[in-house]
Amino acid sequence: MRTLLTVGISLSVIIASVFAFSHRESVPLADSRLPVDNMNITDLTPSGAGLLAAGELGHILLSTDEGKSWQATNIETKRHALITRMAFKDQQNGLAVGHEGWILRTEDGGNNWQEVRFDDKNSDPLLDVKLQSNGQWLAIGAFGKMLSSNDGLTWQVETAPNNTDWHLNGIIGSDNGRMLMIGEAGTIFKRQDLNQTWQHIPEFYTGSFYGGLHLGGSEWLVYGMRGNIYKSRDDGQSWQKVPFNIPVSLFNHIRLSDQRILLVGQGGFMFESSDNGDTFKPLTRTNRGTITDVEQLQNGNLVLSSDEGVFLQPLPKQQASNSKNDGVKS
Amino acid sequence: MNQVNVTRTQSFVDAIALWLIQWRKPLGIIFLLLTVALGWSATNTRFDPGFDKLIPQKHQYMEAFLDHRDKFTGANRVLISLSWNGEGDIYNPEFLKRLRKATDEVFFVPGINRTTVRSLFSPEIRYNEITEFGFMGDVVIPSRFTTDEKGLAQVRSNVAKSGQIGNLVGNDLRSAMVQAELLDKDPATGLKTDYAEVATHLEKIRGQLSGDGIDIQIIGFSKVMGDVMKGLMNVVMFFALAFVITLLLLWRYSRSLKLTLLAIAVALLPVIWLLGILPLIGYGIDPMSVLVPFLIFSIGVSHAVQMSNVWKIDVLSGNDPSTGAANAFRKLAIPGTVALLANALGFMVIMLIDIPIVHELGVTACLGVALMILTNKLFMPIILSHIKLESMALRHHDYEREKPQGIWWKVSALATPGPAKISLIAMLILLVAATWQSRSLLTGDIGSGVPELRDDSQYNLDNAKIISDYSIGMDVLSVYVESTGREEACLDWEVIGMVDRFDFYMRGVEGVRSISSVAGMAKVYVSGNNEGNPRWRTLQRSENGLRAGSTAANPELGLNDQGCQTINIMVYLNDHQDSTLKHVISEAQKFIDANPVNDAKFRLAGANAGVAAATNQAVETAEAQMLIAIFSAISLLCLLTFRSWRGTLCVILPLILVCIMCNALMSLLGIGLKVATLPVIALGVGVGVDYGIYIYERLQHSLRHKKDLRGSFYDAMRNRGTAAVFTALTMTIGVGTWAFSPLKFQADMGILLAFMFLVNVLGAIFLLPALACLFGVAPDQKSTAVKGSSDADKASNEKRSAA
Repeated sequence: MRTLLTVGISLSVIIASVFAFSHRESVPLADSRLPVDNMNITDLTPSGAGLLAAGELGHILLSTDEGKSWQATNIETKRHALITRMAFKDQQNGLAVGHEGWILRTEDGGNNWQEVRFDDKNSDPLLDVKLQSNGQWLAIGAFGKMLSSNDGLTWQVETAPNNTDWHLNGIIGSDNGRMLMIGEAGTIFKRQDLNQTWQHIPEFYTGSFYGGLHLGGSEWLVYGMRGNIYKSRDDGQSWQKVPFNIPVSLFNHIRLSDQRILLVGQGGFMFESSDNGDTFKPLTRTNRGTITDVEQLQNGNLVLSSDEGVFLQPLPKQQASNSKNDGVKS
Repeated sequence: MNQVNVTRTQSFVDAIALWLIQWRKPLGIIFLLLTVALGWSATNTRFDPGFDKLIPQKHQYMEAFLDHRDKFTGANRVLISLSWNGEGDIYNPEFLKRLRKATDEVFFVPGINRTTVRSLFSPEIRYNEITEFGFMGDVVIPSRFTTDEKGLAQVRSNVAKSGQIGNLVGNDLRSAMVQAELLDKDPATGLKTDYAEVATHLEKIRGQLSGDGIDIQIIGFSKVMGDVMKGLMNVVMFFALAFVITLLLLWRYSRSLKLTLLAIAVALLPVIWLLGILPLIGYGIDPMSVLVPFLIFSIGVSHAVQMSNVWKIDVLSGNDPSTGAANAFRKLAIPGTVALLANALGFMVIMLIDIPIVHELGVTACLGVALMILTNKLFMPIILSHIKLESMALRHHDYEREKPQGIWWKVSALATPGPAKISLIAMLILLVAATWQSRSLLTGDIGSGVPELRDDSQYNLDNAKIISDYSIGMDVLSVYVESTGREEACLDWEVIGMVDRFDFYMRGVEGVRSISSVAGMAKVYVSGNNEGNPRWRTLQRSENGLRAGSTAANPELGLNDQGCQTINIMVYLNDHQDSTLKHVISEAQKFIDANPVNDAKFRLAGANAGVAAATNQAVETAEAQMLIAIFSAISLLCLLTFRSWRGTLCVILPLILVCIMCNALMSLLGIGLKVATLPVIALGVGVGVDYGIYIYERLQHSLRHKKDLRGSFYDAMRNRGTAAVFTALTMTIGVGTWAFSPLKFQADMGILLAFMFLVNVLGAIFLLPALACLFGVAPDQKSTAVKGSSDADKASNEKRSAA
């Protein structure tokens, strides 16, 4: 009995000590995720599946809750090349293009992507892709690269207009089939309709254009390096500089539901025009590096992509008076 | 066997006692000479903060770290941040003037590696820009720069383009910093860099340049060490305080000035000897081993008290001082030496922690205990043999004798079955509660900032400010990518692409603040070469494509060495709590395992977070080993001494309970298990077992003379209990003074050690008799038994149950 008691007490102390000193798990931290708020996102595109964001290392993310949370989409072949643009034909069918001639295709709004083209010998990037009014895809890129495809699956190399070897940065279309193609060193080509060839617009500026939009009628806007914005009122034949003295590069734009035009770019800047691109003034400065794209959500607010991730931004109110441009230099 | 052995040992002890008294004069002179010589040598003892000693050298992370840290010295960085409290941002004449001044001043900090000083004024900090006219790049602040509006606007714009926001300039543009690295050896003098001097110099910069709307924050390992050393100076004060309190307690206890002074002097002797020997064997006092003199002093006092007590009783019973001294030696040589051996064991097992600073602590403490055996057990009887007691001490003793039914008699009731059961139930409740609470103990540092200093110390406030102002911080985990047989790994997609993917993956890991890697930097450069266009911010797999970003692979940037043989990926963390470290490291390892690269190896982990991770792992591994070792050793020691496994259990079980309670206390107080606190348990057990040994040894002695258990325990308490309580008090006070230390780890250690010392004596007083009673420890039936004691126990047991 006494021995039993002795053993019992001793064992209980020893068991308690083994338990007390056995391995202690530390508090687990949240699972790893895609660094949506700290990665280079180059493009935001809405689709039938939700809102898509693409960029660094070939990641394409999907948000089904207006940009609050993001999930990785399924990409068949991972190439870890930067995706530069996406474009959709309809709610479901779209393309993503990127560095090293990479082209991905989706048939379900961006949930799943298949590789249709990749060129690991030639690293030059594709920088934009657009659907033309005849249903044919056109992709452009660095050093005057041009590709075309009827179905998005097989691609033909096209000769660049004028045999240009400048980087081609963007294709701007209008609703009636007119197009502009813009690029490095003030390059602008225009095409009145599909039956015509690209027409070279003589350079009036030496820097790069990164984007532009059709303002309606025969008015067009292009923007680019170091705050250079030009407007044409004659379908691209002649261009006038929009007065703007903030030397930050502008990479993308959006036409808001209230018809304001926003330009976004370096230094996290956003500029607005309420007069169809005649004048621009600074709207706000976000604390992100370089804004690459912007989309307007159902509720009117903005979702922006930058080289430091995706973020949401309430839509800034229209400004009543002109604010001073001084002091906001990048 | 038992009795025969004891007799043989005892006769050996008797022989030494005789020899000791015969040779007391020459021996006394030798001891005195030794004391003088070592005392002189002790004046050469130096403080040694040694960074390297904190590194668990054999840990695989640290092998990687030690392989590469000379190439990427980031670990020993100093950050001096100037923050602007005035209006607007930092781009104003006054701020820039001070920043330039600070940059210049940092050059003159002793031991600074001048090629690593970085601020906006450094020529290495450049910006790149593409304009319509081509590529432009220049220093951020032009050499002929005027602080007018135009100049300031220029600097503001240059800084934005330099990519230094978040790094050299605060995210909100209201602070800017100077960064520099320290060398281990001061290039000017060739001597080891003196961190105290570095810290003083940095404080001088703060004093000179702060004010008028500018605050200065300084962080860095050297600053921590400097502050720690300043804090260490307080230790002298604590020692003095502990000394005075001990002195008063001793006097109150012994009522004899002579005995008080004697005990103090004898307890100081091993401290002096130890401090004298340390410089001779090339050791210094570091922030941890500064604990040892306290411990040795306290332990020394406790043993001196035991011995003078026994001597006093002997003298009072009519013997002359020298016979009394010989008798005291005879009676205490065995329990005293066993107790000291137990102490030494406690110190020895902490050497299982694979960290040099703890090794040194173990060596220093073992040495101290060894010296204590000499001073306390040999030198003390020699002095005692020369002493005559004052009358006051005699009277006091008479007073004590008149009240034999006092407190100890009441306590001895615990050795009877009824009260014993109550004691047992209390013990079991404590056991369950403590075990449950101890499960929430955390490993490593808790909270942010450096663990050495308190949360509200200047340093930790500075640290918090810098962390909130910038994207970088002091908590960095380095991952090294070693490639073999590749000409230029940074131009090799397989390697650099994987670094890029690792960079990306880690950015999504909870606990990571930001990443600095050559791949990330190269992408910025590629984009920079393409007009800053983010659609070009990428690496391409062709060598030609990669070449566009190759300027990023400049070894001076500290992210790779020449030819990118080794790439240093710096992962900045939110903090260095163990959960963060474990999570980040396991995520990194997951990526590395899933993505093998031919001829290239990702190795974890360097920099301070790597050290912390390795240290935590070493501490966790050592915890179980250490406990098993100390308890096995002490159990064996008790078994050898008592020749009774029941007796051993009576001493060991309360100790185990106290250890669990100590862990529970740590988790309650938010103290983590780390290099500073892990040794506490071993030390606490090593010292705490003394009480049990002294008490049980005396109890056994009475049992042999056929006294019943209660009477034996009462005897033990009367003879040694008071001394044990007194000892526990002095030791608790000795280390308890540390709770007021400005150094957090000292305060933690002090609180925990005080707890261990105090609660262990309570365990020995309240649990030991109860357990002895319940386990059936009883008077010897055959005092001349040749059988083993456990047999004797059994026999007595049978007798009892028969009765």
